[in-house]
Amino acid sequence: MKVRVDREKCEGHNRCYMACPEVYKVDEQGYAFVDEEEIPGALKEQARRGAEACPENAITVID
Amino acid sequence: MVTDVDPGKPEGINQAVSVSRELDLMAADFPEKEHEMYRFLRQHLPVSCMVEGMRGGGLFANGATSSWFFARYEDVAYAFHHPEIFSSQIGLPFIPQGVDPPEHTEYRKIMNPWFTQQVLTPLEPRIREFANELLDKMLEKKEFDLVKEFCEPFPIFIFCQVAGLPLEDLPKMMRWKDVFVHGMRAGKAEELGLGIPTDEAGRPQLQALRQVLAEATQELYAYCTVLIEERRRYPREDILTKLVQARYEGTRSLTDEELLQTLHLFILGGLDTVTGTLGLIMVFLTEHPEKRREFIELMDDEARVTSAIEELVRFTSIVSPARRVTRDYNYRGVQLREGDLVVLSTPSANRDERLFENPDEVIFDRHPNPHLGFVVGPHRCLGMQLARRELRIALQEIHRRMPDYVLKPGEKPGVYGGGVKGVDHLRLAVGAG
Repeated sequence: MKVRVDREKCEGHNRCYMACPEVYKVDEQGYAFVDEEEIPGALKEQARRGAEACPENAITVID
Repeated sequence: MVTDVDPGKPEGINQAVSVSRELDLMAADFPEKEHEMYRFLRQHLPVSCMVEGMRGGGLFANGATSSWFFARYEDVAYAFHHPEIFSSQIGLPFIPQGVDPPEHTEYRKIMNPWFTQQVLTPLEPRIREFANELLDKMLEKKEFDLVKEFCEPFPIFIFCQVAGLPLEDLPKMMRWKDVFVHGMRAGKAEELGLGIPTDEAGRPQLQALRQVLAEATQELYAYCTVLIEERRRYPREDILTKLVQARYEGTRSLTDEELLQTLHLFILGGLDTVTGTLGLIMVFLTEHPEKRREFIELMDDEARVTSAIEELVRFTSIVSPARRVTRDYNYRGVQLREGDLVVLSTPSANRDERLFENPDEVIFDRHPNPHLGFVVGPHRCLGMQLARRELRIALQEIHRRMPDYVLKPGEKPGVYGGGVKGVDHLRLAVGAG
């Protein structure tokens, strides 16, 4: 499973970060990014919840 | 009054229109019936024309021919995401709120870093300490007004610390905030002693109110000019200093006018919105002890309390921002005209049954919860990470220190409506046994 953050759409709500800080990071502007798109098995569910929490639909999950 | 209708029948349409005519966010009895009306409008008239409504909005409706009310999540979110059609330039002298992209984007680049998790986390112990100082003082009594003694001072103190505003000037800033935010409310103008003539419904006359607002703005600007000068000479570790040192597009300093328009907005945003949200959440938890118990159970679990705060923000949603239509535009079969005002109701959008299951219920672990309480798109709330922290800490400390509060006998919470909702008073009693 991969996750991709659309930086054009992200508005810095940090809801992905609040749901799964292990995967989603926040830059100095407050916008989300991921270091590693490939999600390890143990974090899959939480990473998915982070993506679903985004009110801007900025995060895509690729199974 | 509001019952279900068949919109396919002419009498159904008429009823829907008559409900929209009653849509007056500033009316004294509006908070009691708002969600019933919103539900009806979402179902039967998602884009409705406001006639009597939003009198306060009338203050800024220079030349607008019509005002529209968006009730559904999808439409409210669409408008927030399309500033080229739904502009924030509605005549409020605020930066960055009253500015559209691309200028808005540049201002936000400057300000975003001031309110990130990294910057705010170190403040957490001080915020918690201050919450307890307020509670120490308040709990010397068995009965108190939680709004006056906690919900108002708590965010203001923190904001002053972050922004670098002198605490001894708090009363002055409170006064300006009250004039700007509450001056247009029936009864409130009188309470504030603004000396504005009112109409038969007790609402301040628009022209006189404009005058008072202009004077208050001048006073505030004069006050802030002194602070700005001080920071230019003696920089400190605060947002005021960061503002005067900021570089627009990395090149030029902000002009005095830009600085003042930013501070003006910061003072309103920092002094009123957390007060309103916290007040409304506490009204809910006062009236729903079973939900309060549930909250107390989960409040020390970081993941659970985080999602509980989001849910409480969704449920209480206080803002209904206005936008100006930039060109003639047909939206959902409604012909919007250039210059029309549109009210984007987050209170209604966040209860939209098309998106949220059991929207009128508080479900602390609701997921997903893409609520619009902090607004979405370019104008999402700059201070939202600070607001969340303040709400979480306030609710944790209140419930740690006084889990068994009740409404003082014979009292009703003083909830008010409008473009920014809130609570005037919430008189509670503790230790009744």
